[in-house]
Amino acid sequence: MTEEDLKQRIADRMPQCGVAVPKPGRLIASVPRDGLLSLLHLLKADGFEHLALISCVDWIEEGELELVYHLWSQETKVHAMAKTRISRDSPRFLSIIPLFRHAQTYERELHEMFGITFDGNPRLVPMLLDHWQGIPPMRKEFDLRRHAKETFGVEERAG
Amino acid sequence: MDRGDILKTLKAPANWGRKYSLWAVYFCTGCGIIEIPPVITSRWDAERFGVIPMATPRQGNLFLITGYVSLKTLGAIIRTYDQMLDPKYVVGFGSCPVNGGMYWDSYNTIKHLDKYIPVDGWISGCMPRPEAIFVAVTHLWTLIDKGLADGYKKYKDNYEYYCENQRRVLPHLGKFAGGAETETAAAPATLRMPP
Amino acid sequence: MGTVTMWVVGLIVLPVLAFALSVLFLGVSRKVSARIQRRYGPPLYQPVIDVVKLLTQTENVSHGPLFDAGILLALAGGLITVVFIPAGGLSPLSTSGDFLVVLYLMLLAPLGAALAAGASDNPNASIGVSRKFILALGYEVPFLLSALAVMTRYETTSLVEVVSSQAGSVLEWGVFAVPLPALATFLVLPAMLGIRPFDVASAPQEIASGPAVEMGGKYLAFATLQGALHTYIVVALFVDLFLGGGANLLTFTAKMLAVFLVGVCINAVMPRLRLEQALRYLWKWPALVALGGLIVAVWMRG
Repeated sequence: MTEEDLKQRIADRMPQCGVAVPKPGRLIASVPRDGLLSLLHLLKADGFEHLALISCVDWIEEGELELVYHLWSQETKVHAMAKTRISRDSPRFLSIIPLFRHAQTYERELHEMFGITFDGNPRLVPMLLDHWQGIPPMRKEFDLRRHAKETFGVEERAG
Repeated sequence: MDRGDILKTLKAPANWGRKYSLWAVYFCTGCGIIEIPPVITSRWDAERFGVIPMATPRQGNLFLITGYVSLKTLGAIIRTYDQMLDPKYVVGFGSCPVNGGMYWDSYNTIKHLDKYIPVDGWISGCMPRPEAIFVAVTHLWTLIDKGLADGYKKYKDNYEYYCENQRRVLPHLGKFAGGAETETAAAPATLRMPP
Repeated sequence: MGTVTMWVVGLIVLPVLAFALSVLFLGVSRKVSARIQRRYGPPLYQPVIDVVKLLTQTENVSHGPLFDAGILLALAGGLITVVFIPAGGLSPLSTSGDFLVVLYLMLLAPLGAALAAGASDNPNASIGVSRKFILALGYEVPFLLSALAVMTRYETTSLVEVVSSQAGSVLEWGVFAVPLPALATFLVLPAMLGIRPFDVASAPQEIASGPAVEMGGKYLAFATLQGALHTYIVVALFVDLFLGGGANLLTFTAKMLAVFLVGVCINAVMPRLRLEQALRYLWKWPALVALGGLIVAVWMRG
């Protein structure tokens, strides 16, 4: 199945989904938050059996966080990205652990770095940071330079 | 290398021992550790300098802080350094212990290692080549000869200063808590042998 | 008067000789391993530098009186065992039962190590010590069977008589007179020396040096010396039992060096066996070969 065929299959079954093939080997599907689980089920049934990563983009001007689920199909060697947007204030989303069990670690990292709560994830405890106080550091309102200067006494670069 | 200089050895045998038998604690603190396996294997043989890796901090007297130091790693480094026996030498390896290196504005790495543990020498580079490590070892020998490699004495004399810096970034480190989270230098007595 | 002088000279010279030889063997081991790995390696006197460094460390962490006592017991046990093993003509404390005495005294070293490791309060040390004792259980079976076979064949329990029975010509050496026990002991020699493939008790990468994990400074110096003495004892026993001992110190040292170099070469190329694999090996072929040797020795006697 080529990327165009996959795009057609998704567009047929989920009309609210915006699908694009930016270049060979890539497939991007954007969907409102209610449709993400159905989209992931669809992709998994179509051969995308491997969840590689869950990443997050902070659209601070639009007031939204974009969750990107990176899926890989070994058979067709296509990298699919399922995207959805959630609100930036007290972000909550469902956990996809029933679909991909190892999503637990990625959701734990996003909880720590962006503050997103994933309902259904049993282990949203700190992983990388050590007794962190303050807002989640990957959010754009976090002042990285000021924090580094105050905590560690960093020197400004000469230029 | 004046390892075979018998007169010099007889005048200061302790220095002779400390120089030519530097046992590095094999604690891979950061990404810089990728440069250590080539150094200790056959091509750039470090054993001819007397440097061999040691599995436990009780037996090592050289601590190479390789690469960036995140806060969690700093806790482990402090615990390891406290367990090593005097005289002990610390060498900051790579740009990150010097001034933060590539992660100079990161929220989770320390920028100046010598605020938290005393450092006897630095090797700059990202990553330094094995030849740089050997040059650093010979410089450390010169320092030991002159008695200038006294980081361990500075640690004991300025213990409050170092503890204050450590406490600022790691308030929950075991040696400060004292009550709930006692992580003493030896393993706690409640640890049992696995079945 | 003459014998008393010889006795005193032997008692002083033998431990000194054992220390010197064992430290030299440590250096030889590192140098030859390095050359096998196609690199230069440290000088032959590197263990001397190491021991000097360890003894001049200004801080020594002790874990209590049992910790100190264990290490000293191991070192003292090694020294005592050394004076019972004839070394190229020197045998100050030879009696009629000294082979049995040596076999008992050889257990003092692991016992001392176990005491020290138990006082260490570190689970790695406990794991290392348990592995050490299980490994000892493994190699003691074939080794004791071989020892019994040798004692039966030469009809003596004195090491000096075993050595003198092999004097004469090369064909009277133990390897030709009692070939099966010799083969069995050679097969368990790496286990007795604690080198690969049987160094599971002191695995640096796995259990952080096992029993020696909490030893630093002068304790590690003593532990290193005790380990070196243990090597000397095992190799000297092998030479005395199966290679004809030594008419003088020079031939004795040459034979010890030859056996030791074979051990170093095995150590350099072998991986490490797990404990159950090691035990399975030690109780299978070496034990069977030793048993066969014992049966042959008994049958040849009567």
